[in-house]
Amino acid sequence: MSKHLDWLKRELVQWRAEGLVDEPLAQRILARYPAATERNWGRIIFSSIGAVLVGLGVILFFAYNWQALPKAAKLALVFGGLALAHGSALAVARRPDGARGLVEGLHVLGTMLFGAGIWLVAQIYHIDEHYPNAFLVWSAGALAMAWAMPSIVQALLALCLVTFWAGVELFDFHSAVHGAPLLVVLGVLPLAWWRRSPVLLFFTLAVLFVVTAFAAGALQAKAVMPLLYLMGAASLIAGAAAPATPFPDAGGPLRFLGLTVVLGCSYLLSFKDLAGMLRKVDFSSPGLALYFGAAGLALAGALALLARGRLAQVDAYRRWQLVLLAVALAIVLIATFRFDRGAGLPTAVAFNLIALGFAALLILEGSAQRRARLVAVGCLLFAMIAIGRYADLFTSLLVRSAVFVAVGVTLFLVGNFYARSRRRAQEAQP
Amino acid sequence: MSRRWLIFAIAAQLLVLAWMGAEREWIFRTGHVAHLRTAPIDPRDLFRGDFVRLRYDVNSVRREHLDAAMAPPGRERKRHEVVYTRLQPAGEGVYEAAGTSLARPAEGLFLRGRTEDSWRMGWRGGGHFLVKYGIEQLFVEQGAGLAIEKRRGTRDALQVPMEVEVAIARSGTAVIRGYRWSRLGMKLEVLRRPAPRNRNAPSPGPEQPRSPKLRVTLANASDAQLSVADAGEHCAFQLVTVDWAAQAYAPASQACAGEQPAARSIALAPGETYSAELDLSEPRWHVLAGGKPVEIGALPGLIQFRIEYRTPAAAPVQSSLWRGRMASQAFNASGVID
Repeated sequence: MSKHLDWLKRELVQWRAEGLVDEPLAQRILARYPAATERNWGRIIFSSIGAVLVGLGVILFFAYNWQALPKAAKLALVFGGLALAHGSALAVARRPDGARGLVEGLHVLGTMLFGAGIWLVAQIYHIDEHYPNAFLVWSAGALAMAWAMPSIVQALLALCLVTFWAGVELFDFHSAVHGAPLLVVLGVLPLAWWRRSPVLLFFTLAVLFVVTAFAAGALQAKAVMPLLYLMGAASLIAGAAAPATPFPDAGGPLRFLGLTVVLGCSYLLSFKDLAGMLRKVDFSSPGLALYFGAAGLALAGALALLARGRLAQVDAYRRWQLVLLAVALAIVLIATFRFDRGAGLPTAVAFNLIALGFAALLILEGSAQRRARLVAVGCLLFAMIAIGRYADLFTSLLVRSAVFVAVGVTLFLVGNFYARSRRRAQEAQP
Repeated sequence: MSRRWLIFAIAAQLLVLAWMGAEREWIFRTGHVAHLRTAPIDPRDLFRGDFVRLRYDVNSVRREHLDAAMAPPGRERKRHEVVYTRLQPAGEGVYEAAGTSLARPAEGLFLRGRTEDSWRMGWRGGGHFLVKYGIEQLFVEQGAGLAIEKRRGTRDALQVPMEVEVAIARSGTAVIRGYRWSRLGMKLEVLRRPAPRNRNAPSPGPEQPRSPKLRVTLANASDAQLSVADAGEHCAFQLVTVDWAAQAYAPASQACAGEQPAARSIALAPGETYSAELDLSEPRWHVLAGGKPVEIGALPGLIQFRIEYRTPAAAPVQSSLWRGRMASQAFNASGVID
C-alpha cells in the first residue's frame, strides 16, 4: 500500500506543478488514501532471523560440550541468557516508541535459548529419553509465547518445530504422530484467525498438510494421496468462500495451497504407476478414519460456506474448476472406498484429462482477468503433462517431435490469446 | 493479551527447564551410587554434540531372569512397557542384573526401564529381550568419543570395559555421574580355526577338531599391582552361550564345578598379562543339544559364545585381587570374533 501511496505523492507534486490540481484538491485526494499503520516488518523479520541464528549458535556452542566449562556455569549461562533475553524484551516494550521489531527479536532469542536449554540439560545429565519429545516441548514454549505476545514469528517458529517433531518421529522411529496435526489445528490455526494473518494462515495450512501426510503415511502409505486430495479440495473451496467471511484475506492462502495440492496430486495421478496405488484404504485404524472424517467435514463446511455466501458470485471459470474438482474427487473417493485393486490405466487417463482441464481453465481465467500468473501456471501444468507423457508413452522420435511441436504451438497460441484478451479489455475501458 | 500472560509464558519456559534439571540434579546428589559395566561406541548428535552410546550388560535381560508374571511362554508383551531390574553386587563395586519384574520391587536397589523393540525380541523367541534405562548415552566433548573408543580397545586388541558410575533414585530412575575403566582387561585370540564348513563335504573325522582353540589373556589395565586367580586346568574360565541361544545350548558340564581345586593367585604388575589356552573341542567345553553333549563346532554357525573369567570362590584373600566376572567378545564355532 505504501508503495502506491509514494507513487501518488510523487504524481501529485507533478500535477500541481502542471496546474492539473490545486493544493486543496491534492490534499483531498491524499486524504482518501490514509497511510496504513503497518508494522515495521523489515525490522521484525531481520531481528527474528538474527535471533534464530544466535540461538542456533548457542545450541552448537553447547553441543561442543566444552569440558572446561563447569556444569553450573553452563546452566547459569542458559538460564541467565533466557531470562535476560525475555527481560530485555519486556523492558524495551515499555519504551514509548515500542521498538516492536527489537522486542520480537529478543523474545525469539529467549525461545531459542529455551530450546538450547532443553538440549543442554539432556546433555549435562546424559538423558537418553525419546529425543523428538524435546521438539514438542520446545514448540509448546514457542506457542505459549505466540499466544501471550501475540506474535506471528513465535507461531512460525512453533510450526517449524512441530514439523521437525513429526518428521523425526516418522523418519527415525516410523511412528505416526497424531498430536502434530492436532497441535496445528487447535494451537496455531485459531491464532491465525484471531490475528487475521494470511502469512500465518499460509504456513499453518502448509504445515498441516505436511504433518497430516506424515501421520497418515506412517499408518498406510496409500492413504496419503486421497487424504491430501480431500484436504486440498476443502482448502480450494474454502478459498472461494473466504471473501464472504470475517477473514476475507484468507482466500489467497487457502486458494493457493488448495490449488497447489490439487494440481500436484492430479499431475502425479496422471502417471499409471502412481494411479495404480490409488485403491481401497483399510480404515480399521481409528487414526485414519478420523483424518478422513475431519477432512470430509472440512470439505462439507467449505461447501456450505460457499453455497450460503458466494456461489452466485463465483465466475464461470471457477464453476467449471469446481465441476472438474468434483469429478476428480469422486474418482479418488470411489477408489479409496471401493477398489480392491488399483485401476492404473483408466485412472491415469482420467487424471490426464482432469489435469489438462485444469490447465485450460487456468489459462482461460488468467486471460479473461488479465492475470499473467494464472496463465503461467496453466501453461506450466500443460507443459509438465506433455513432458510426462513424452517420457512414458512415446518411443518413436517422430511422435516425440510431434509432441514438442504441439506443445510449442499451443503455448504460442495461448500467448497470442492472452495478448488479444488483454487488448480487448483495454479497448473496452472508457 | 496482557503483560501478565506474557510473564506467565516466560515463567513457564524457565520452570520447564528448571524442572528438567532439578529432578536429575537431585538424583545426582542423593541417589545410591553404583557402577554398571558397558561397551561404548561413538556417534554424534546435531543438537547435543558427540556422545558415546552405551550398551550395558543389564540392557540384555535373559528369560530366566524374568519374574513369573512376565515369563509365560507365548504371551505377547507391549513395546516400551515399564519394567524394573533388580541389581546385585558383582565385585569391584560393579552391579549386575538379579532379575526383572513388572512390579516395582519393595526393597533393594533397582533400575526402572522400558522394553525395547528388537529383531530378536525375546518375548517370542524365548531368549532375551532388551531394556533401556535412559542412561545409554554419555555426552562428551567433541572428539573425546573416539578417544574413549580407543581406550576401550579394538576387536583384535586388549579390551578394557568401561564402568559407568550412576546415581539411582528410590524410584529406579538413574543418572550418569561419570565413568572409570576396569582394572582388568581381556583379549581373545583364535589360535586354531576348524576347517571351513561345506554342506557337500563329508563331516570331519573324530581326529579332526571341529571347534576353535582360543587364547584368553587377562591384563592389568590399572596403574597399580593387581592379582587374578585361576584354579586347576583354567577352571576360572567358563563357556557361556550368548543371549537368545543360552537356554537351548547350555554347557554340558562345568568340569571344575564339583572339584573345587585349589586356586592360585597370579600377581600382575601394570601392563602385565596372564594367558590361558582353551581347546574348545575338548569334552570340558561341550554343550547340550537336544539333551546330548556335543562340540560347539556341531552347532549352527550363527550361535555365539563368550569365555567368561570368574574369580574362583576359593581364591586367596588379597586386597589387590580382582573380584568379579568378565566376559570376552562373542565368537562363533568357526572362530569368527564379533
